[in-house]
Amino acid sequence: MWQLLSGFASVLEPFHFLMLTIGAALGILVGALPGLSSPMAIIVLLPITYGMEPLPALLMMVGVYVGTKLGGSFSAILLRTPGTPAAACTALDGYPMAQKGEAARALGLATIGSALGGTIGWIIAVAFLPLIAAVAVNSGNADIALIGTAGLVMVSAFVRGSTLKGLIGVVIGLLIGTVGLDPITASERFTFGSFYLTEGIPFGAALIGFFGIAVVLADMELIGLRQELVAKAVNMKMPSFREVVRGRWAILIGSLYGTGVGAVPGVGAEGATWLAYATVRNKSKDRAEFGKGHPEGVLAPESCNNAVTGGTMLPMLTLGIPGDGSTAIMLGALVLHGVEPGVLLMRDHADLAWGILAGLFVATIMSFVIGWSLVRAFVYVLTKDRSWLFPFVLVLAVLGAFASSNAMFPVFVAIGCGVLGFVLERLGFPIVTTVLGLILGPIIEYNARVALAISGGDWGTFIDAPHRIVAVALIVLLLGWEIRQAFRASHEARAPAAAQT
Amino acid sequence: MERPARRDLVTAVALAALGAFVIWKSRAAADVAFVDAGGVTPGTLPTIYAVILVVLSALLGWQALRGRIAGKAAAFRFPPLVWARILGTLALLIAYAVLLPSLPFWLLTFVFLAGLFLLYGHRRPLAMLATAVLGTAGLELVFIYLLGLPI
Repeated sequence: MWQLLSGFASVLEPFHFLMLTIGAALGILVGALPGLSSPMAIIVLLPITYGMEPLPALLMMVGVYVGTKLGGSFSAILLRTPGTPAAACTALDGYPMAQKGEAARALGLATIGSALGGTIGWIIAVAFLPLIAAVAVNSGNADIALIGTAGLVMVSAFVRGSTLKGLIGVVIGLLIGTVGLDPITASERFTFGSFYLTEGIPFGAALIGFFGIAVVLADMELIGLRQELVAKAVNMKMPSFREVVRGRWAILIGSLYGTGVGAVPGVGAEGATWLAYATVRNKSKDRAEFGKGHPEGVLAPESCNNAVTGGTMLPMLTLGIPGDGSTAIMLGALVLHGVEPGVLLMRDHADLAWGILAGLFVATIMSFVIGWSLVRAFVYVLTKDRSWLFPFVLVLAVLGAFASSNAMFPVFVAIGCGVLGFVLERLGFPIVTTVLGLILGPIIEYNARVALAISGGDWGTFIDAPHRIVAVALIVLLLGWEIRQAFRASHEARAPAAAQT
Repeated sequence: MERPARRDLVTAVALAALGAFVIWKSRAAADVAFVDAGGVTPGTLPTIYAVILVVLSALLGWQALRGRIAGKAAAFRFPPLVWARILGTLALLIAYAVLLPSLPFWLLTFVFLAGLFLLYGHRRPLAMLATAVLGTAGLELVFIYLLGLPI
C-alpha cells in the first residue's frame, strides 16, 4: 500500500504532474482525430522524452494512452467516425443520440463512462498486480523464456484478423531481433559486414518506423476528407447521479470485460467493447432501443474502452508482455531509458512501476477534467484536415530516430521499418505482432540459452516443473488450434468452390 | 484465383524465400562461433525461427491455393493521387534524411514542410508559408536550443 502511496507522491510532483497532464490533453486531441492513434502519439513524444527521467517520460505516455481512449469517442459521437478503432462501438448509440439533438448528453455519458471504467479497471489492476508480480519475481530463466514464448503465441492467437498472419508477423519480428551481436558469444549475425548493424536494429527507430511513418503512409487516403459535425454548437452535459446509477450494470460489465480482455496480451480494446456492448444489450429490457441512441449503448463501450488500460498494465508491468501497441511502445521506452522490462521490473524498479500505476489513475481523472472543460477545443479540431499535421509527425519521427543514438543510421532504419510496416499492414499482417516479436525475441533467446547453460545443456529444463509443463502445453495447444483452424477453413473454402463446379 | 488469394500466395513465396535465406546464413553463423551448452550456436535460434517461417509460409500459400484469404488484407489499389502522395512523401523523407547532416536544420525543415504541404494539395501560399515558418521555428527552438540535439 505504501508503495502505491509513494507512487502517487511521485506522480503529484509538479513536473511529473505537468507531463502527465500535457500527455492526457494531447491524447484526447489525437484520439479525437480519426486516423491518428495512441501509438503514433506516443512515438511522436519519444524525442521529447529522451532527456527526461524514466518516470516523467512514462507518465506522459500513460497520459496520452488514457487520453486517446476518451478522445476517440468524441468523433464517434459527432461524426460517426471513431477516432480510434476501440471507439467504433460508441458510434452505434452515440451518433443517433447526437442526431436527436442529444450530442451534449452523449458526450457527457462517454466522459463519465470513461472515467468510471478507467477507475474500476485501475482498482482491479492494483488488486492483482502484487499477486502476479510475486509469482513472476520467482521465475527462473527457463520460465522467462517460456512466458515470453507463450505471450507471443497468445498475441498471435488473439490478435485481430488472421492468427496465421499474426504468427508470421511475430516470426518476422523475432528474426529482426536476431540481427547484431549474439547475446552469449558476441559473434556477428546477419550484419552483412556493416558496422552499424553490429549493435542490432535500433529498437526505438524501428518502433518509430512501424507506428509513426507507416501510419502516415497508410493514412494518405484520408487527406482532403472533410466531415461535417452532426451538431453545430457542442457542449458537454454531465449525466445526473440517478442516470449514472441506472447505467451501473453497463458500466460494471464494460469495466470487467475491459480489464479481463485487456490483460490478455495483444487483444486490446477493440474486441472487448463489442463484447461488452452485446452483453449489455442482451441483458437489457429495452434492447430494441439499442442502436437508436440508448445511453447504456454509450456507457458500456466507453467504460470498457478505458478499463482496458488497467488490464494491459498487468502483463506489461509484471511479465514485460505488452497488452497492445501503446504498451509495446511504453516497454520500448523503458528499454531506451535503460530499464529492462520483464519479471524483475517490480522488484528492481518498484518505484517506477508503482509510479506508472498511480499515474494511470491520475491520468484517468485528468482526462475527465480536461475532456469536460475543453470539449469545445477538441471538437473544433475534429473537422480540420490532418494533412497539416502529417509533415510535423514525419519531422518528429526523424528527430526521434536521430535522438535515440545521435546518429543518422537509425533515421534510415525508421524509414525502412515504416515502409515495411506499411506493406505488412496492407497485406493483413498485424504490425503489433512484429513489434512484440522484436521486443521479446532477444529476451527469450538470452534466457533460453542461459537456462540451457545452467542445466548443462539439458533441454528437459523447459518441462521439469508443473508450471513449465502447463506453459509448454499452452503454447502447443494454441499453435495446434491455429493450424487446425487453418486446415478447417481451407476445407470450408474448397467445399463451396467444388459445389459451384 | 482471386486477387487477394494471389497476393497471399506471392507473399508466402517471398517469405519462404526469406526463411530459406536465413537458414543458409545461420549455417555460416554456426560455423564461426563456438557451441554453447545444449549444442546451441548463434545460428540455432535464427534457424528455428526461419524454419517456422517457412512452415507458416507454406501454410499461407496452401490456403491461398485453395482460395482462402487469411484475414482481411487492405488493397494496394489507391487512386493515382494517393500513390503520388505516398511515393512523394517517401522521396521527400529520404531526401530530408540524406541532406540533414550537410544542410542547416532550419532551412531543410522549412523546405521539407513546405514541400509536403504542396504535395498534400494545399494551395494557400500564406497559410502554407506561415505554418512552415512557425513550425520550423518551434522545432528549432525545442530540439536545437532547448534539448540541444546535435543534428
